[in-house]
Amino acid sequence: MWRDARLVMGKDLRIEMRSRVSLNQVLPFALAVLVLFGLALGPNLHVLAAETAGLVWMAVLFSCVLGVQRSYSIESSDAARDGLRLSGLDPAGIFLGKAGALALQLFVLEIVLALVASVLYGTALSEALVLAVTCVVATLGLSAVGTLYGALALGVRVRETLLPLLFFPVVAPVLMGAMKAWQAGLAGTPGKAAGWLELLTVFAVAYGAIGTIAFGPLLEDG
Amino acid sequence: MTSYVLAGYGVVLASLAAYAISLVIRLRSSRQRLGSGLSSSDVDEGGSGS
Amino acid sequence: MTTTVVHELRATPVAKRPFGARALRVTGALSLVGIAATIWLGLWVTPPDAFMGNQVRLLYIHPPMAWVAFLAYGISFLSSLAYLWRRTRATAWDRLAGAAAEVGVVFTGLTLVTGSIWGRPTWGTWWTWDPLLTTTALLFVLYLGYLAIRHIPGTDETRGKRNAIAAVVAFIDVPVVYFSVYLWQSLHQTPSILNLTTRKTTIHGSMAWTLLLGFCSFTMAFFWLLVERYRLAGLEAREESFGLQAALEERRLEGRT
Repeated sequence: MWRDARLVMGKDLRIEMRSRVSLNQVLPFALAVLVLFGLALGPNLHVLAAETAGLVWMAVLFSCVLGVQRSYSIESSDAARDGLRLSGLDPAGIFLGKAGALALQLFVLEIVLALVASVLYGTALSEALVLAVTCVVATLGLSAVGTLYGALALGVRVRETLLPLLFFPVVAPVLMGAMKAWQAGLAGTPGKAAGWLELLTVFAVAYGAIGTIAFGPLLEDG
Repeated sequence: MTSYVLAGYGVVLASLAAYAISLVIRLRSSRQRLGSGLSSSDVDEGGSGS
Repeated sequence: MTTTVVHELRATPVAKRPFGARALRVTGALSLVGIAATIWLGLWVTPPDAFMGNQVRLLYIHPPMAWVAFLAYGISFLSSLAYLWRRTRATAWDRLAGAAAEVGVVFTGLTLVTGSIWGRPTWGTWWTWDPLLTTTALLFVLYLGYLAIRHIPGTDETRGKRNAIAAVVAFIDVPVVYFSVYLWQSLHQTPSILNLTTRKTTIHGSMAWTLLLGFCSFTMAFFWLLVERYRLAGLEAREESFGLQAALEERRLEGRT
């Protein structure tokens, strides 16, 4: 299973490095979201600085949806499910590989977003370790849910509209946890983040497990 | 104050009634379609028609 | 071969046996009586609350709405599990899960509306971000998504598995969401319905009975709605397969001429 996971993850990442879609489209989209949040919440830096955590993580959530769409569109476009199944790879491995690739891309994205947000919103990135750990744990959870729901909506014509609808309510806890942990970090009180990090870890482990187990049956035909 | 209470009760009753009625209507039309759709109409109702 | 399959389909009873039908009608009638009684008691017989005044009357229907929604989602979860376990796999479970979820969404919506209407005069706002209301709002959207998944075309087994997994994922998320929202807002002192009801130390006798009646009546109403919705799902499935058979027969006849 782990070998297959590494294979799939390597494949997905190599495709990304060659096509650079995440780099050229998802990242600019996320940056645009940050800018537009700035426009929506007024030029007053006080508000933006105070709400940086929430805004950044909303941008991450939006980007994750796009990332999932992309992750599945690189499989053969028709009968993607058949393609994955017939590849002979362990479905659990496929899940972990795709989720892992997505997570890595999102993690890089988050680093960039953090830096940009610190400029746009005038936030000082204190307690960077807490921020980074939050990113890792939260992103694992987001990727797990995203990859799972992406498979669920495979081959459906309404996938573009269905996936966000499915994804957002389920990852609400991740949004809350990551936002609160970041707030604690940015405010210089990293201790308060501990509980949230625990929540995020439980979420990531739980949904990682569910995805690993459920991926096989989902890909199965009939 | 009481108008809020009445509004609350009203919404609940109206919604549940509407949903129940819609179910009954859909059930009836579905049974009709199944009964008359093909040449013979021997769909067994089991004596439980609504 | 097609005609024998069609005859088989027609021979299977559409609805429950007569006993089940009567039980259903009795449930329906009882629930109507119960709801009417709850309304009468709630609006006229019971006294206004010392703290809340007449607003307390909404508390005879708001908690039952929430309870029914939770019951509905629980049934959806359990039938989905029954579907996923190979030994008990049957399309009926999938249909039950879908019916339960749909009725659950109706009651969730009503929970939100009654909660909001109750909160408005009490706190001056139509909405507060307290754990219960917020979780309910998320539940609403969550299960709307589940209902959307159910519309995805596919074979019975593909859809069954997909729906069941989606239902399990959704239900597992519920306690996680509630816990998160609770932590998330506990830093702020937003009033919550739970807080306010625990402040009520004395419950007048008739109030307690009315609330209990409310719970029972709406639960019965729920079961009536659930069974009817489930039967409707069964009929619609048969219509689909009949439509398929009819189309196949047509094509065969066309082939002959």
